[in-house]
Amino acid sequence: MADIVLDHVSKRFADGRVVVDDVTLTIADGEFLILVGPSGCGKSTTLNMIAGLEDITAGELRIGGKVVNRLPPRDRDIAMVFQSYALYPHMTVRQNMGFALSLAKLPKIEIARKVEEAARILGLTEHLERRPAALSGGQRQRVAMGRAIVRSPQAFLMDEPLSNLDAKLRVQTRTQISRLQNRLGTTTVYVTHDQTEAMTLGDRVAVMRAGRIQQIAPPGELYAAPVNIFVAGFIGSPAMNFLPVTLTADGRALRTPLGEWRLDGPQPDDGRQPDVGRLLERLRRAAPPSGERPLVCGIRPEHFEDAALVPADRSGARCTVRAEVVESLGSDKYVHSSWAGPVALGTDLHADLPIDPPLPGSGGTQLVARLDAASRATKGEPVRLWVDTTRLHLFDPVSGANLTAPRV
Amino acid sequence: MTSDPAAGNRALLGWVTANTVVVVLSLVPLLWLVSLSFKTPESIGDGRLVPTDPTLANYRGIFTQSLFTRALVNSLGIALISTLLAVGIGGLAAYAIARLRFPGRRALVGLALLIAMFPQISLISPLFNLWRQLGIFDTWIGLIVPYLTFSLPLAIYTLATFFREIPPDLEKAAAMDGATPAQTFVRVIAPLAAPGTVTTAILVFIFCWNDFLFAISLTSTESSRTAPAAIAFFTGASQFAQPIGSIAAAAVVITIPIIVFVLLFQRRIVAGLTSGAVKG
Ligand SMILES: Nc1ncnc2c1ncn2[C@@H]1O[C@H](COP(=O)(O)OP(=O)(O)OP(=O)(O)O)[C@@H](O)[C@H]1O
Ligand SMILES: [Mg+2]
Repeated sequence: MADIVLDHVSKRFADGRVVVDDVTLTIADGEFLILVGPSGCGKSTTLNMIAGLEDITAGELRIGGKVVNRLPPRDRDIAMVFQSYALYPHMTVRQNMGFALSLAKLPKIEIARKVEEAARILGLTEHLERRPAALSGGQRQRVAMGRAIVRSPQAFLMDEPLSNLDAKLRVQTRTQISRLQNRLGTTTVYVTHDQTEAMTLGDRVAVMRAGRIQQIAPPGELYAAPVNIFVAGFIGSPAMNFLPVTLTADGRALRTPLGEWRLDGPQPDDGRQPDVGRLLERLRRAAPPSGERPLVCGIRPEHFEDAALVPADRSGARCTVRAEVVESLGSDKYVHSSWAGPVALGTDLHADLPIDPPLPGSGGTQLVARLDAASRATKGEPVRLWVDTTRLHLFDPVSGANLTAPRV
Repeated sequence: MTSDPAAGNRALLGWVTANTVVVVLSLVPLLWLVSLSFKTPESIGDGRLVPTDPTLANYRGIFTQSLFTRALVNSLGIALISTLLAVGIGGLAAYAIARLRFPGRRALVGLALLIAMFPQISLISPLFNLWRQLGIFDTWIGLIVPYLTFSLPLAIYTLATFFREIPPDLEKAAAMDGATPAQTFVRVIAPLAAPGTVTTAILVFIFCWNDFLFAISLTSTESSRTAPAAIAFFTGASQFAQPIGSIAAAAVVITIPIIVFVLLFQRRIVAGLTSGAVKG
């Protein structure tokens, strides 16, 4: 087992496009790192460079302290699980799993022992003599995993290994992978664009966009303290709401499309809430007051509540929206609303985000609020919302940087 | 299909008639040939399909002549070597064409196909002179080279189609499993391309085995004359007797391997021809 270090690694393809741009990343020994990002952002390319399937244009790749830029895949001692599984169709499950070992010229008895051990762990024992064509999708996926684990390699690389499974199997297999990695303790890099996988599987998550790493953090921190609009919008489902706002000249209130929200109301009494004073202080530190300035305000859906369910003296902003769609999930209610007018995100900030386009016939800005199931919100009626102003994120509208990211 | 049963029957009748005509047209000459091969020199001209007193004398006759037995050995040797080379070299070239993006890849395939369509007859006299100067006139090599020229493009084209259908992820997986490129080719790619390889091999073999033009022009003695060419040198029992019976017997003998091959691999050949034709 070993750590993997990417030191200012870049990849430029023959057509001149830079697909991975100056990526620096340290994956600790035994760590489970998730690489997540929108389609085409260079995740697979990064993984292929670690594997040795793609040349590294610039920078240095070290595995276990050794520079491996020029080593072919077979000398890196790394196993990979492909999205297509890439099982050898003409070999049985046993031969598929033992192929690497037989290339390594291990004794036959040893190969049989290791393959059978891996098959037992993955529940493939009764399928060992079958060909991939005779297996179900889930079984093929497990053979692909088995092919990786029999070798006890220094690291596993997985490129969207679950994306060809149906939803139910994906959840099951996700748990299996997590347990397997815990048990083997092998350094793992896992590529996905599924954010549930990203949030549940890894020790840390690296969010990529257009070839650059945006943020590397544990899932909770990524969610609570995104460094920029992209990460904030990419992580979380339903996505964070973005409103175009103006910070007033005194720096203590926001003019929003939903009315003016004061940020300096009475402090919360329970001491658990992050308090507004610190939000303002962080904002002042990141952006010293200089008259009115436009900002992008980010609010997670769960930081709204039905105003009727919040004590009237509780600090925070209140506003009214029209509930266009109300989804009752039993435990919560999702209220969707929208209105015409200026939008918070220019097209280039919006481009890669998994945010739905506006509902047909609705305006430019979309809002999703997650309310308690006890809420009386009904479709087509106005609903009074309470906003937890201590949980707001304020972003620079040009750079997209989070000016208020809480320190975790 | 039409719902009217009478019209359906008429259509069926039409198909049966058409097929019968085609089969009869192609089989009658063959049956006639077989019939001739069993006839005595005296009854050759009697015009009957079933020989009156069938004899194996023609077969015995050709197998006692070194002219024919030696030619069979030449035919077999030359066709097998050409096939092995065409599939071997063609396989490597086709793999490169299917997998590598190099400048002029399309031009190369186009050029290869162009060569295959070149009229062979126009090459005969230049080759004749060239081979004599090079000293490979009337040798196995002298025939293998032109056979390769015309069968390699076909081999490359068909094999490339098969290689293209193998997912590139398999090569990546093999690389991750620790295989060298050579091991990947031998243990993963080649077995998967085996059906295509067999098809290609059969097509090339048939082409070489059947060739008459190069064989008659580029050979002069038994040292390299192949069976189709040797038949042209058959002589009758006497100066005035026509060697028709022997020729028929020899023709039947050299047709047998082809028939066996085609029957054994019929499905493969059709699959190979169509996939080459449609997907390319
Ligand atoms: N061989 C190549 N030559 C040129 N460009 C390439 C090559 N391979 C990939 N690309 C480009 O590099 C970019 C990143 O590709 P990559 O496969 O790494 O994306 P990804 O993040 O894995 O996306 P996805 O989630 O869709 O798998 C894409 O825009 C792709 O078109
Ligand atoms: Mg990918």
